[in-house]
Amino acid sequence: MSVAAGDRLARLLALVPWLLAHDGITIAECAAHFGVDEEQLERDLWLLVVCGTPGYGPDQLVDIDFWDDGVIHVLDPQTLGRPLRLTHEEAMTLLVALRMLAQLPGIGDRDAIVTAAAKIERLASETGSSQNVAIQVDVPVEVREAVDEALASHRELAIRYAAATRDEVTDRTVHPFRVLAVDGVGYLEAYCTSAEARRTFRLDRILTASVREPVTEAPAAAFEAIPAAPSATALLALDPAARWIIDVLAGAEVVGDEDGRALVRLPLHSEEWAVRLVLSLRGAAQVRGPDGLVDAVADAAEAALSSYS
Amino acid sequence: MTDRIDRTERLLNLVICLMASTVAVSRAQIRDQIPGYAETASPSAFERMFERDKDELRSMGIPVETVSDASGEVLGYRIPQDRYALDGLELTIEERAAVAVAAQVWGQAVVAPVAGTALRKLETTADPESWAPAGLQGSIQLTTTDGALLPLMAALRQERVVTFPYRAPSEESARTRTVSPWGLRSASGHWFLVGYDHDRAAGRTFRLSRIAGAVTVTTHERVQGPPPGFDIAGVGSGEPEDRVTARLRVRPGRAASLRRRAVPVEGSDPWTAEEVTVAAGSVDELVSLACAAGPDAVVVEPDHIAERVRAALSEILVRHRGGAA
Repeated sequence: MSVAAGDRLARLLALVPWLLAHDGITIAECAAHFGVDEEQLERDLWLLVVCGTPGYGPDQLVDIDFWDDGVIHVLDPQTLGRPLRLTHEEAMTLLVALRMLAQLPGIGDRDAIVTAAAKIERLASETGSSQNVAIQVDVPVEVREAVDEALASHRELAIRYAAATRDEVTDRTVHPFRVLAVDGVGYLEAYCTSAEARRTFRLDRILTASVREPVTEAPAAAFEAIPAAPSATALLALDPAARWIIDVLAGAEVVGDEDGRALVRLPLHSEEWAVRLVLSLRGAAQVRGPDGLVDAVADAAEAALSSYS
Repeated sequence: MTDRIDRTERLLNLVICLMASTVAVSRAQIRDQIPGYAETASPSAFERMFERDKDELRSMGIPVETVSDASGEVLGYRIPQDRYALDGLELTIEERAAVAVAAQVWGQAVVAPVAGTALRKLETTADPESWAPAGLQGSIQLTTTDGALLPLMAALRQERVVTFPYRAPSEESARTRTVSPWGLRSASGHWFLVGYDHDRAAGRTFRLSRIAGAVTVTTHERVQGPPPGFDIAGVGSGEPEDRVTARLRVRPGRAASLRRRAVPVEGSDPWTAEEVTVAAGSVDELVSLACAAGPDAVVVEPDHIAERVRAALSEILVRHRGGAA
């Protein structure tokens, strides 16, 4: 209850100065900016106009005109004309995001990101430590700079890539389109001339990158849709020691329990990937299907063992 | 529902009243003049209500000052406008674009509205036109599993002890942990809390995705701060353990996951070398890395790691080829 009241009060206090700066904005636009529906915004405005200084006479109340064509004008903000300074958490959420952006290539004006972060950091330091939240995207500076340059100049990039699904290192030439980040991990979307298809590369797995001389446009095949998640799945029985993979693998789903072992269904990205996953669990996971994967794990373990005999 | 609306109205009137007055407003004036207080049944009910409201405003960052006379007697309360208002932040037009993008980075996350409110405040500091949405070229999303972030940030600010249910990798069910937080860190998309674990009486790292419920910020001050020279950006993502190494023979062009963790050796390129030395945070981790490479890698030394890998591979073979092994 108190959280809801606090959130709403924070919004009401932010609303008045924002409306003063955006005089004549519509209820619909304002509601969209504050992430509430129009009815909620109207309730907020109705609440504001009955508040004011003790006495609560007509000229002592917050005065907002919002009944004319859905357009809002603040006529008298009372004491609420300026925004409340940023709370520590507000400053920190912006700061953490800026720190992440500063580490990614292809985002835009890095100098502005860095100086904006310094200014927000100064604000955050007024209310607490700004040094106890760190974010690291793991993109080497040389790779970031090469990707930046390739994107800005529309040139190709020669990369050395450590693929996750096939445990190998390959040299590729790619035509970069854009950088994206999902859950704090950076990716480069590019047309791969080796694979002759659009591919997504994890930035932290690009070992080296260098910009190549300008070439012609990327082939039309570059604009194919991104491949969907695999429809095939694998069924694994996990001992307690291997349960942690449920947290870290996207799409993992617990489908049953068997004497303390979790039965888990996983998206099967590739057989090679799944074999390496099961091997890495040191015997704490057993594949229950498909049969081909059971055999592939056994074959890989057997082949690996032969080196130790 | 009605109660909630009344409370917001009471708090808003309290803020305006304390800001509008140039002198301290006494408790009696507050009770008599601000709608919502006079209706309370007893003086003690009013005291409780006002204390709670005052704490709430302060927790939102509103500077409610207590004004006392020379003898320490409390005269009343006020909110100085210059301490209340955002001030002294001037962003260039390029920096505004960067901040606008940063506020969007949280996407649908739990903290997104917090970043949004921050941006709404900053937007009032310059011409609205100059905040035109920046060309965010990619789709940048910081996290989706961040429910614990806000309470942990609040606990860090207040230097308070937190408790939360946590499921360690090797444990089947969650157990409540009590922690004095030192810092938060995100590495390659995973969030970690670093702090003093009260049960183990030592510094520990907790993965936020393993927090299996709500984080409670207690009223207790943290019992132990970070060690001298502590730097959250330099903390590893695993439990603090000695590093172990092993030398492995690797097939040409294969075993990328081992090669990228190779310890640098003068005059040797790990991407083409026939043998690499790999470091890991624990024996288990090293065994996992060697097993995952399958026939692409063989542990040359030390023997006890090679033996562990052999035992693990045998176990895997037995579990996947039944009695035939």
